Amino acid sequence: MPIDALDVLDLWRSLVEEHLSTASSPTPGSAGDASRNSPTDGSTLFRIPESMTPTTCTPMAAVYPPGGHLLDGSASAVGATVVDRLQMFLHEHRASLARPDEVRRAAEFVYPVV
Amino acid sequence: MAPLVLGISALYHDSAAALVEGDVILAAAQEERFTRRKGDWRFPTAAIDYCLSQLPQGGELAGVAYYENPAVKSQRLVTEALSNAPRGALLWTSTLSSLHALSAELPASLLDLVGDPARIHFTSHHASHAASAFHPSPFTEAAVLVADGVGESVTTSIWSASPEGLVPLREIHYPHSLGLLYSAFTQLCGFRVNSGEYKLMGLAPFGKPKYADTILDNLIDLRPDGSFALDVSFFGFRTTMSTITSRLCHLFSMSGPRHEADPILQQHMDLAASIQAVLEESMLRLARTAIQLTGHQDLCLAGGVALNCVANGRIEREVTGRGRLWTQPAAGDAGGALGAALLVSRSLDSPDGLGRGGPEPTAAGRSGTDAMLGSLLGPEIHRDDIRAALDELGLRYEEPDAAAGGPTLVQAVAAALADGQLVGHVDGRMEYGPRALGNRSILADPRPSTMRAGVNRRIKFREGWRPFAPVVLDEDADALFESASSPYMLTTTRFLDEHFSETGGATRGGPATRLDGVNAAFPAVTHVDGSARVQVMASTDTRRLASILREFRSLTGCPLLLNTSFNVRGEPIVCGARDAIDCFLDTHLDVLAIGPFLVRKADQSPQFAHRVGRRRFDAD
Repeated sequence: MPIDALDVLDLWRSLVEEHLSTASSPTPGSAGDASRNSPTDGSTLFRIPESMTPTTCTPMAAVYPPGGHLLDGSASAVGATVVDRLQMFLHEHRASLARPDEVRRAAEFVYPVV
Repeated sequence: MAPLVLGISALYHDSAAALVEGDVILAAAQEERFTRRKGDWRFPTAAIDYCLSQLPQGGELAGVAYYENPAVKSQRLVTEALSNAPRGALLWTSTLSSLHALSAELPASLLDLVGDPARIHFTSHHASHAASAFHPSPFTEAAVLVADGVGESVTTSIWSASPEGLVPLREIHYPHSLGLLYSAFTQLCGFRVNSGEYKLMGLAPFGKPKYADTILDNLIDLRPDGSFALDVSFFGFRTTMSTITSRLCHLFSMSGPRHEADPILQQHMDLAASIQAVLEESMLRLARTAIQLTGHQDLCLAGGVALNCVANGRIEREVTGRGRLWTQPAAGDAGGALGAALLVSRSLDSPDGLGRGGPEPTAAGRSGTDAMLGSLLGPEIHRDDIRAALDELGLRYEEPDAAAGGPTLVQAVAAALADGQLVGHVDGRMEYGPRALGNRSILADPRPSTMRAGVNRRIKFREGWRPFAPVVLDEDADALFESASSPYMLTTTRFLDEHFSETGGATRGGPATRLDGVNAAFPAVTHVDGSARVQVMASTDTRRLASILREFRSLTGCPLLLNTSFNVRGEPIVCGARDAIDCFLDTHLDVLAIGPFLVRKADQSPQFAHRVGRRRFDAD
């Protein structure tokens, strides 16, 4: 069944509203991050990997838990509820998006991109 | 029997499949070659079919390996969308499509292949790249540097590789990405993101890096160890379909990006030179850190940024030294299929799941040869298929080696090249990765000053300034180049001084801004700065191209040939016989050498002359 453009828009709008009520921290390196202008102090911007052991493979059951959802267990604190709803949405509409141009136009109308 | 594993990369760009048996690579190919859609991102059904056709008799897949982790990638997509809201609305459609593909379509497609979920495994995007760079390399231990746009979340990573496996040591995460930074300048200069980056690299030698300090002062905080962060407020990729913003344009006093049809101005050349200089400096620092952190002397590269052969050349000259740098020929996402297959195969082959093996070390700690089989891992072209395709179209052709007394096919091709004719050459298995290495190539004499523009405009239907690469036998390379060793066209070097004359035009190292100003002995394959992205063939190589090189050298004294991919603008490299014949008929190619057959345009009936130049090709 094709997904209706307005369904997508409604979902998107609810996600945005939910997000706006939840503060999120800025991403390092974004505008206003004063730390970016310290190129010669020898400090590093590398991250240390969570595990420094030889890399291994992940079995399918760990990525797609039986009876669960793709995003279970990996959602951030900000997005946990939204991810569940998004997953439900995807589960209910096992089809590719229909009328993407309408989605785009509707999205532009409701929330013009700055 | 070592485990047979099918690797798959898909759903972003340049999908591919690969088949390995233990550490032995049996087959690998990109989906675009079969579907004829350049950079095809869809699940690679045709490439998988090809790989499965290469299973040994009675062999069964022990596993399927997917090149990244969909759960981690989905988390990044959702978190990113939420953190940007309410901006980024225009990306939600594609985000939802991606999430749907990852959550529903991908697992179904994978299960269709093997049925049993226990045989399906996932690696991480950068681990796949790292494995593709190290396991087929000639090294038994090495530092590995991976740099690309973005996978799940990591954009840059450093690994220590040994027989014990691949250990991640350092990472940089999205949105801080050298690949995305370079792509933004690709768009700014009027080229297509994810395909025009190599054009930007080719444009760079025409300019001066006058904006490099502006880039370093405003766009990227580059630390001495090569770690970096972007000021993402200058870029659009987080919230729009564009990689750039008006703020980025204003930084360079531009009203907007160059449009594709607009002329290329000196400013665009200077911007290209500037971002190229910054990229090279970043990669040099990262390479040094990788060597320092691991204590290894050899370095392997992968990720889309590793296709920047100019940066690779500098790393080899300034960091590792000759022969101590190895780059995966399919360094972009297509190579992830191979890396994932190798990782899973090694995991299945060892009790602790970490993998063992690899090439046997020599006294120097290196085995000397790589396991890529020349990257000739795609479908073979078969005599019966060629003949059927030629007959179907009613083309006139000959089979020189079957006729007594006349010139051989090698002699006929070399003679045509010496006569200034342009030859499409198809022989053996197709190349894996973006470079044509002789088996799906267009060949030409590199000496005429008009050859470069001619091939660009009459064959490839593209901009006349685009550079071409030479191919040379290793026995001739040292007399021509400062340092040439890559069999995969993955490093750039310079022609020696004696191959430039003293008079006329701009000279190398000077303020050369016109390609025709370079007074080089081999102008069709010499870039404006005197450099070349040379392919070095081993003298022991038994492929027909090596024989053609020898014969051409014997006829003309010239040890080089121009070698460019057998395709036209906007289309993938040819795969099968019909693809090659169509490309031959649609362009100004004079001769097609395909398998044992030789087809001359001049021998064909007039009806075919009307096809030349009539097709309209997509921009690339």
